[in-house]
Amino acid sequence: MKSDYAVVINSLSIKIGNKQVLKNINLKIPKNTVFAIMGPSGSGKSTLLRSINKLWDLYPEVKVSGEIYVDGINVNEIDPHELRKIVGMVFQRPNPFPHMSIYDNVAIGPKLHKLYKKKEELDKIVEWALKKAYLWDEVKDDLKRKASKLSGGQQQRLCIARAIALKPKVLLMDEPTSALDIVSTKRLEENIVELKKDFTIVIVTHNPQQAARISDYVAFIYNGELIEVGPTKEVFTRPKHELTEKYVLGKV
Amino acid sequence: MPRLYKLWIALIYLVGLSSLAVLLWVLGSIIVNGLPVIMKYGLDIFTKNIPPPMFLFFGKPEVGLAPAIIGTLMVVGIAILISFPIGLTAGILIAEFRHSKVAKVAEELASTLVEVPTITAGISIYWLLVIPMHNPSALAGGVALSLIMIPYIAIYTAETYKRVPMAIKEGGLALGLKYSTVLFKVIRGLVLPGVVSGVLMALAKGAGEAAPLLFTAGWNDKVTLNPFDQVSTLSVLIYKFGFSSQELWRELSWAASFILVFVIILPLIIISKAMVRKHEI
Repeated sequence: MKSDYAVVINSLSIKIGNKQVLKNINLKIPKNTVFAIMGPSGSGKSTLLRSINKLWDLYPEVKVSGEIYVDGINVNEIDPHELRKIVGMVFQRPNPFPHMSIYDNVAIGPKLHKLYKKKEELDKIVEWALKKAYLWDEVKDDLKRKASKLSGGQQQRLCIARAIALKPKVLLMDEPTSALDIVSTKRLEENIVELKKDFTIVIVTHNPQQAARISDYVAFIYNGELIEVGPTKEVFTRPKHELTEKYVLGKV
Repeated sequence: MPRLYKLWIALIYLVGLSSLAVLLWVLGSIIVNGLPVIMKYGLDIFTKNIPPPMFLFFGKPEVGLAPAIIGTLMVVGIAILISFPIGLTAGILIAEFRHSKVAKVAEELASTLVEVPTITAGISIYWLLVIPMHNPSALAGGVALSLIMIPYIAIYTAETYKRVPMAIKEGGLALGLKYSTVLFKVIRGLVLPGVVSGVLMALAKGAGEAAPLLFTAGWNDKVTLNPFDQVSTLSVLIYKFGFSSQELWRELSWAASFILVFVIILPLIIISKAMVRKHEI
């Protein structure tokens, strides 16, 4: 079933242990947009993000109910490993494989999934991913360097390259700039806006200004509930909900 | 107050230095007593057989430690073949499936086995293998030693896997890789030094143990490569010859101590520590 939406979430609720973390969330994320999920820390944004690629499978204490469709496919009806090939993820702190080279970090996904047979094909995809992540120019002369030797901002861009090397449809980003300095943050934000040409970006942020700068749509989550969702301009200039207005003005 | 404090510090230094002194004294006495014996007999120590019990009646006997050196390698080699796969599996189980009952039992078992007196491994394998097979052997000795080495490898492996941050494993999982692929392929390079270091420590521990071998490995003053034969080992030789009335045997006991400590155990420990330090996660 084809869909205009990259991700559709129907009445999603999540319990961690006995705590209700998300309550009845409904969202439609259009293709090739930057969709920001904003809200204060502890509001359940990251929890929501991790349910899209079913990363909660590992944690038996997390109970997910409701439906999520990625590109028209129900995530519960597809092998989670296949799902994660079409839904990439970039984490809060850069987490490259520190012992591997820059090249291997990007190549490992396609390689272990046996997507390419020839080394030249793999070389090509590594170059493509590093270019998309704006890292190529800085590292092209020394792809054998260990990932741990890169700066924080470079490591995060390497993680983006690693995720997009599988050519996913959706790219999840969990506060990707929270561990970075201002300069690296600015570069990464520009990078994210570029990336929506090829992917649908779902980004979690606790910073409303960041959401305003880079997103096309924004959802505001507070205490596990979806308060407001809509085009970013509308939400920021004419919020429907009082709580949203307060949050956008930095009063919550 | 400051004076009391100074006294305190001095006391701490004194205790620290005296424990170091004991260690140096032990190592020093092995060098002082062992090295001259090795110089005296030269390469023969490594190639010739052990003088037999009645050597005084046989004219000039062969003087060497070859059977004990090869016996040690055989017994420890058999032990590592058994203990590595079991210890590795147990270690990964303990670290990665922490919440399962089996993992909890394995962890308790490993930490208890480390504390159990090693001679009990000898006596149980004596009943289990030596009596049914009617003979002590390198194989029985190796099995007994493996009981000592398994928990070492399991604990080192578990610690190493636990040290890999969840964020790194999640990085692999988010690429759609299976958990087993993440454990065995993605983070292999991260855990390898720790696992190898555990294996080396287990080898060092195994090479130095005499107690589990007393009932199980037997004794042989000639070289054999048959795992079903009795073998002598350096550790058992030290125990047997150390208190002998024969000067020659006492000499060999010191030479064996020197080889065991300076050629086998210390290098293993040093390499093991260096590996872990070089690859801090």
